[in-house]
Amino acid sequence: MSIALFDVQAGFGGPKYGETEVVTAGDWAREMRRLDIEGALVRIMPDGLVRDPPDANEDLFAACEEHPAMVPCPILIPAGAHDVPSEAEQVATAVARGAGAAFLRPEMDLWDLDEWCSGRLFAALEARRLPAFCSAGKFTFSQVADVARRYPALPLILAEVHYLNQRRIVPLLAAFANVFLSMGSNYVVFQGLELIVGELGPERVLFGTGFPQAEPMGAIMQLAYAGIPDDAKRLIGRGNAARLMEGIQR
Amino acid sequence: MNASATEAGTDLLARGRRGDSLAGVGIIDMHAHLHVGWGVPGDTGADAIVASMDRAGIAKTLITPSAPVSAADQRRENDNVLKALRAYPERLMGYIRLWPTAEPVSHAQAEARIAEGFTGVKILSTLGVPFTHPSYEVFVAVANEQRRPVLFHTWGQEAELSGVRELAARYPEASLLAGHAGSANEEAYIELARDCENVYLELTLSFSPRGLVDRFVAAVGAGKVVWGSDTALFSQAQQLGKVFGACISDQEKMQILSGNANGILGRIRT
Repeated sequence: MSIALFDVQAGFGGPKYGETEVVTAGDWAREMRRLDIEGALVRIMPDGLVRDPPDANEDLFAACEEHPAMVPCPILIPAGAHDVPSEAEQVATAVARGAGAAFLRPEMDLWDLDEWCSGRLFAALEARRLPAFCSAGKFTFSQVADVARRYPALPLILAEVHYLNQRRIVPLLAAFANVFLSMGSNYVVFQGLELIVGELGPERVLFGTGFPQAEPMGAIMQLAYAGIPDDAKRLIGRGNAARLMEGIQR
Repeated sequence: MNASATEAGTDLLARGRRGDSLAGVGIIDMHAHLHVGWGVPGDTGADAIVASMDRAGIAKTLITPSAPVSAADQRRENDNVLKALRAYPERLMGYIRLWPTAEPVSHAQAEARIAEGFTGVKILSTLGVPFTHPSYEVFVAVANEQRRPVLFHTWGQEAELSGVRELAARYPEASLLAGHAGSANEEAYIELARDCENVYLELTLSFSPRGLVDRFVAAVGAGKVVWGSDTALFSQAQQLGKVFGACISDQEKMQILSGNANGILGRIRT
């Protein structure tokens, strides 16, 4: 059985620190064809190079227009400094340009998760049901829980999670129905998918690869050979992501 | 990315993509653990490992204890490995995991311990004792006489790789596996495998850097690379992906997944 796949944890863009190779959207499109990945939520990566999110978002939108299988995940930021459009306008623009989620980088973009700083951004995301992409490298588990509690209608995609965090991941997913786990690099734990599907059902995990840093076939084979029913594999492979994207108020 | 390279190895790639049984490939996992802890869910014993092997169609797995806290605990955990080997003699093989001791270990003692049913020897660097410590080296000497594999936990550190290099020169008949190759200092691993005929690069890494297998094969040849998974810590199938997804030929993939391991295990002299 070849499972249909939509990758929520992928990207393209500049080189890694100390290297010169640039992975383009075209490279990712070829890799998607090679591995039969139908679609992908994509970010500009490595995002550490992005100091001007609106500019980077334009590149991302343009690349996704050129490659229709790619769904943009632009960086959105609170508008308190009046250097960017209002939060509602940013979300509206992102949705209009086909965004499937918003990439949030509090520390990198110099903002805080407190209500007084980013409340309008989260409220705007929640109003449109535009999922927030929360990398475990940028959010602590407690911060994800806090946002999930304050904005219960906002789906949160928890990604880039280390495999030894099972004691945090399972209770977090159990406590907050609006938190979804990307199985992309580096959630490689033995029997992890089996436990989550068994405890919480198959609706809470999203397929992700970690391209371009990680070899995508790792996640593909992790899912393909997991000890879970085929229906669960189909939901994780594409169905759950499709449901989240269909929920966006466009 | 090289377009012609992406066309290589399409049959195994397609089989892995579909989740087909890989039973005919003869895959041997050269790096796994029994009972791991660390929040890994469910049973991580022999039954769970064999169930994971069955789902993918992995032929054999070499297991070793996980994280003992003392010499006595180490002995108990090694004994647990022996029990697992007896429960699944056709599917599981084992490394004896060593604990550094101040008391000397005689050659006869090391020989007798290995003869209890272990296939190879596993040595860690994480206890801060060099691979060349006498209580380790006596086991490497026995492995050399019997042409057994020795798996080293390495993480790209100069002291670790120079230790493997030193032992490779002194014990040319043992097959030395540099575990977690490419975890750091990728070029140093390549130099080690190039310079030492009896050193292999073992691929276990949670994070699977894109292109690492391709680079190893280009630099040292598929004949010097072996596959391991770190199961029951990591998903065994996930770890297969780095080889199945590599832009190398199916023949090279088979060599990494099966051929080299068979060669290493087939030359053991008991």
